[in-house]
Amino acid sequence: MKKKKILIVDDEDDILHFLELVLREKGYEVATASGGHEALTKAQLERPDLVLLDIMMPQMDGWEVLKLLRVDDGTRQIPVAMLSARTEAKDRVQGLQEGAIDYICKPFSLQELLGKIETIFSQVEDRGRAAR
Amino acid sequence: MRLRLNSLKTRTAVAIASVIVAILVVNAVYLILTKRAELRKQTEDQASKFALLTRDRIGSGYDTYDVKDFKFRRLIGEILSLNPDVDRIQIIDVDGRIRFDSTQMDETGSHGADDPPPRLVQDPQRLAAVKAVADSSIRGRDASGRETLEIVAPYREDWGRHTLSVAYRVNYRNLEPRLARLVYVTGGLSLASILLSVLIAVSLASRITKPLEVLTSGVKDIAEGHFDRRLSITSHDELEMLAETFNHMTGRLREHVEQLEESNKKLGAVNEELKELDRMKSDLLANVSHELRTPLTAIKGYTDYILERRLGAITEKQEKGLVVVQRNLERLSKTINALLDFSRMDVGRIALNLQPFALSPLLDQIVTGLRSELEKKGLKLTAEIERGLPPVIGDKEKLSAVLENLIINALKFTPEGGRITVSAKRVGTAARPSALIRVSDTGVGIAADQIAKIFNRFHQVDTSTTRRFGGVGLGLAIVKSILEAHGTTVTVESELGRGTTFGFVLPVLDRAEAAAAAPAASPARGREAVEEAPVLLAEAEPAKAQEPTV
Repeated sequence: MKKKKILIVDDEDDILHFLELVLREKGYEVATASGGHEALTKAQLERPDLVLLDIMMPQMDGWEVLKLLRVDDGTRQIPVAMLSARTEAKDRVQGLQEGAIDYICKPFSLQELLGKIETIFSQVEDRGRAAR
Repeated sequence: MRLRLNSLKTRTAVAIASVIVAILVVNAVYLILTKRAELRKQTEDQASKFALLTRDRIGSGYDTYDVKDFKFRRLIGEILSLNPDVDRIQIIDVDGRIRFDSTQMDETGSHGADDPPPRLVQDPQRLAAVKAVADSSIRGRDASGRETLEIVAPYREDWGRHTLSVAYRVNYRNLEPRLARLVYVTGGLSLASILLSVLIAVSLASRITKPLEVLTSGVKDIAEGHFDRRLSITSHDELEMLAETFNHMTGRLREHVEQLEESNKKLGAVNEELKELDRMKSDLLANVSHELRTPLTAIKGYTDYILERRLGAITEKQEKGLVVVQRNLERLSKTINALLDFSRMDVGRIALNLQPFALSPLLDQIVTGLRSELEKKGLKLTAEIERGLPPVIGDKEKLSAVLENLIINALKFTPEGGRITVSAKRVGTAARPSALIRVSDTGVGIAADQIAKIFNRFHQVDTSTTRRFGGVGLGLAIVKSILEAHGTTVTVESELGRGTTFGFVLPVLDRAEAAAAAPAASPARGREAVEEAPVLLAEAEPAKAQEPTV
């Protein structure tokens, strides 16, 4: 089975590197972006199987990135999980309404994160199988 | 000039008209009756005089001539023509025999044996009158039922002997045309007067109600906000007074309204400012939240990672140290969450995401998270959730925090070997089905004078428990805020040394809704059976701890 590629988007370097470390170790291929523009470019180029998207970023926030990802034909199919320190219900709901597949609150436990990623991948597979 | 059926104008007009009409009618009737009486009296008086004047002639005529003699008849005819009211003259002797009747005058025939005997007067009254020596009048009726007056006048011969009486019958029918005329004239005049009076009445009524209409329309205008409207009534009376007062009132009203509008504007501005401040506070909160949580993520992440030996082997000592770091991280995390939650609440807007949810699974989750603490203290936690309790309606996340807070409090203040019970049972009416949820413990209790204070922010009983369980004393303040946002309050029953019970009521789905939602509410793991029994027992020995398995 081909390795799954995950694109991590966060303006905090520490978080970015940490996640990269953890996910690589777990066996995923990883691409990183520290800003909205970079995220969109990388999404187009790398065609990841999942995007982990931080919300609070300078210049372009996660919501905008999400919107643009969903608009573009090339990136629309890619599942996006929001990763954020904003824990209010309304943010979570907004995320799901805007098309994110999940919403993970910071700080998260590793197990929680990895577990959610796995769930997302199996969900996507199921959907793909059903569509066929 | 409009006239509606029930309006004041109509009623006044009708009243005035009625009075006038009544007066006129009474007048007319009185007039007619009086005139009639007068005319009759006149007739009667004339007839009396007539009787007086003519009886001698008639009497002597009768003595002189034969009744069938044309001379006698001519005499009678002349006399009759003198007084048109008299329609009959009879000559009656004192024995009551009618010797002559002017109404039988046309009969011709001679005296003789064929003549019928003279008729006898039957009426006793007439008889008496005939025999009497003075004039008398008798009222009666003629053949057609009309009223008559009979004057019976005795005839005395020269030497005073009374053998006959002359009876004059007076008929009132001559009065009729005259009365009729009178009635017509009076009637006509009255009618005209009535019409006139109706017009007058309507006009008068109008005069009275017009100012009222002006007033009404003025008030209507004011009600619609046209405060410039002024009334002008110049009748120099109470109504003008009213109008003036009204205008004065309008002026004052306008002032007030203008003042209010001023205030409103100012308030609006202040409101805008407040909203702006609120927005700023929200932004600040979001930023602070982010700035606090992000570093925590990194710290937590790496700590977990290292502890999992992903970055290489670590010594036992190192492990111990990192565990401490982890634990404190949790504590810090919880504090930050509490602070942030609290700040949000302080702003005043607790947005509730209301949904029906089942209590048991929620309780399970909370208890699972606290299991280690429960075990450490050897505390038993039982759940007594009424069987068939419908799903509770509320913000699941926030109520979860409420329950968690209350259970943690129970945990903190119950000594080893104690018991914590979470119960839920149905209360309320069919119209407002609810559930009473309680968290009880067998802990140290709260003194009566402290009970009100425990909900204060930052209140802490003592700091030792804080060290163990963390918390800045916001738990109960948050509980209270959340429950109040749900429209309910939290009650406390406590006795020092015995224990404490916190309780609150929440609405539940009613039967019909619960039935409809049932398939969705109960997950595949079949909760019904579990709801009868305690959900989880936390025992002293970890080995005995059981998980609900189905």
